[in-house]
Amino acid sequence: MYKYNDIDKRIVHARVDEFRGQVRRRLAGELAEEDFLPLRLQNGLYNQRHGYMLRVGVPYGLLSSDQMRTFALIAERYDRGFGHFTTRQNIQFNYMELEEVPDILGHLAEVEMHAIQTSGNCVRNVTCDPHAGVAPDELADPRPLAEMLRQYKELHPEFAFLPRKFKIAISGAPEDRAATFFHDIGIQAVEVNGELGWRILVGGGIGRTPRIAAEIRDFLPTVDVVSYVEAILRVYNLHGRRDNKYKARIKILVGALGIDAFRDQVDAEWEHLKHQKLDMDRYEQIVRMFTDDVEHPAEAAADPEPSTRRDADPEFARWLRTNVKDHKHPGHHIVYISLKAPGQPPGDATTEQLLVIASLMDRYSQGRATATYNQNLTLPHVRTRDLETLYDALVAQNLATANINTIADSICCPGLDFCNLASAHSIPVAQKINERFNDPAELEDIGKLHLNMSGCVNACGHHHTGHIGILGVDKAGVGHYQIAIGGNPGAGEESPAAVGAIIGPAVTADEVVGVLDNLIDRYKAERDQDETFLETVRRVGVDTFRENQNG
Amino acid sequence: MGNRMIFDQVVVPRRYTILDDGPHESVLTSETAIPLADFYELLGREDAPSTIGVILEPGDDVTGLESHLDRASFVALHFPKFTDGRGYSHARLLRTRYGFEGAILAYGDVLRDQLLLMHRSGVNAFYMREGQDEVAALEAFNRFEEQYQFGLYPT
Ligand code: SF4
Repeated sequence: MYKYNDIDKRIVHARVDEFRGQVRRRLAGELAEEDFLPLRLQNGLYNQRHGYMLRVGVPYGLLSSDQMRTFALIAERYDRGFGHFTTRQNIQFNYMELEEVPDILGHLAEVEMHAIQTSGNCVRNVTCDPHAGVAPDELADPRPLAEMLRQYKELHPEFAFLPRKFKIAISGAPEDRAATFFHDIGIQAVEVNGELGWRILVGGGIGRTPRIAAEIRDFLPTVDVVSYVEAILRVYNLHGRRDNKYKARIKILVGALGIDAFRDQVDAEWEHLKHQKLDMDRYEQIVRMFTDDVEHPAEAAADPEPSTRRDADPEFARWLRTNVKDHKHPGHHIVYISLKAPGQPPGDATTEQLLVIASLMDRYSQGRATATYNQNLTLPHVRTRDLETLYDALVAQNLATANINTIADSICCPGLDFCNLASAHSIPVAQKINERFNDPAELEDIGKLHLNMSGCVNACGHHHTGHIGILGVDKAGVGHYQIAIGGNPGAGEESPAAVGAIIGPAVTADEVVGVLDNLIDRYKAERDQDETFLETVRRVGVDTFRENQNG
Repeated sequence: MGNRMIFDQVVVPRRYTILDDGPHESVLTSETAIPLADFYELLGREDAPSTIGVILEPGDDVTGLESHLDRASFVALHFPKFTDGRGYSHARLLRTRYGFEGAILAYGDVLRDQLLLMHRSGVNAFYMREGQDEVAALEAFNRFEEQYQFGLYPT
């Protein structure tokens, strides 16, 4: 993985010192809260219902075991014993004391991490396919480009006060596991006439106004991507709306101008910038940093399959089918660590779990893990011979629920339990759902089904892009839930990106599970062989499911 | 403090006059700045000083100014709210694309914690918000030795 050089280190440590000074001035009353606000946000610090929440950046979701241990240390020493992984592949700690945050950032700096720009109206963590580097279908590893973009956007003097937050995602594979169509900028690896490059999308997003991104460039070689991103950022910084925060995202600007006029503006800007070609020697050096520290020996192909156990233990067999994914190298696997055990808040991990995961990373995955868009973790380099022992270790920590990509693997925002902006609870409803859907055999029968839930229209739980999306709304002080189906973050040609359609009036928390049961029943009745829920919805239409809810 | 400014990282007495509601009857010199529309209007007049300061509001179009910068003694970037980041792009374009070498002054809601960002975008003169301590603020310039955009382009 990318290793900080001396410059990275000096900058990140200087940033900690700077924030320490700002916190001291804040506590001494020399810095007013409204002046401090953007400073703390750009250091990852939010003010939530119970106090401060710290969001730590995990660039493109890649983690070392030392970093995981540092999370455990923070959870234990400074929080209440757990951390929460987010849809942006970051981790949040919910109960922070302001005066301790500089020390926490100091611990993070020691393991080459920080919380810079994980919040605020600036360019946020660049996210990637969690299978990056080891996906069998990958055209190009997106992480070196993401790392160059990280270095570009971090503390960029010109773009610290954009009209609104700005999110970039990169996918290196035809199956888009990074939701690139729902980002301010989405970048996809493409091959045109044998040349590898990148397709650039712009103006996607969720929130109050969901938009599927439009293509602004069908192909750019790697050398041009950063300068092109700069052109987009500058046009946005100068022309994005600043009069209304709900109309300030780039999707509104792109929508108002139309993609062609927007492209003209960006291209005019880029004329002045395109002489800045990315340093490809450094790029190649960074590419090697991601490959040189992991190995995939050929002899792994001859590892014994855990067939005895698989035949004897249906739970283990199911876990292999559900939580273990294909790897680029023979004899290796991507193993999902499910953070969605029944009754658990989605995405949470306790101190003990974090510590165990760190040692499993060392023992079975060359010290690496990734955080995923679905708020789980993966161990990306697991050999066939280790699957069985790893499984037992995960079971012991309640981390082996066989529910990846099922309805019980929901994405869920913090909702009313933590968030000041919430209209309704989301975590307790998600818990109810995965208590209802806790029969692994049933989950496997239902198959792939993304359920996403947000506690308000800001859509941090990505409800628009869930195959089933649930939105919490407030009706006369009582939380209600609006249910939509047919959304899709985008995953290849057969299942394009889509925003879900609402199927009926909002229901109470107690009624949610009943509605889901009806939807699943209808799906089972309608499905054609091994069609997924989404495929069935697409084929028979949302209305078929609407009647179902009303009847 | 109300009469002090930071200029090239030194605290000095304020030297510029910002006439943000227009020139009216004021005597115009190379150390007074007037709004962009007034600046354009003045350019054609025979009695105009050879150079004068020009104010850029966040919503002003900086591109139109390029061909008239030889008449601008300095550019005053107004920051009505420090969270409005358009002035940063204006400064950047003035310096790197239009080659403007005169002073670029940031005035308005200019705070210590944004000085370095402004400086790196090309601002070299600062009228800070009332109540800010210019001398204490100077430390901002020395906080980071390097910039994070190192190593992107071949040198
Ligand atoms: S969707 Fe709403 S409730 Fe959920 S985290 Fe975002 S702002 Fe808070």
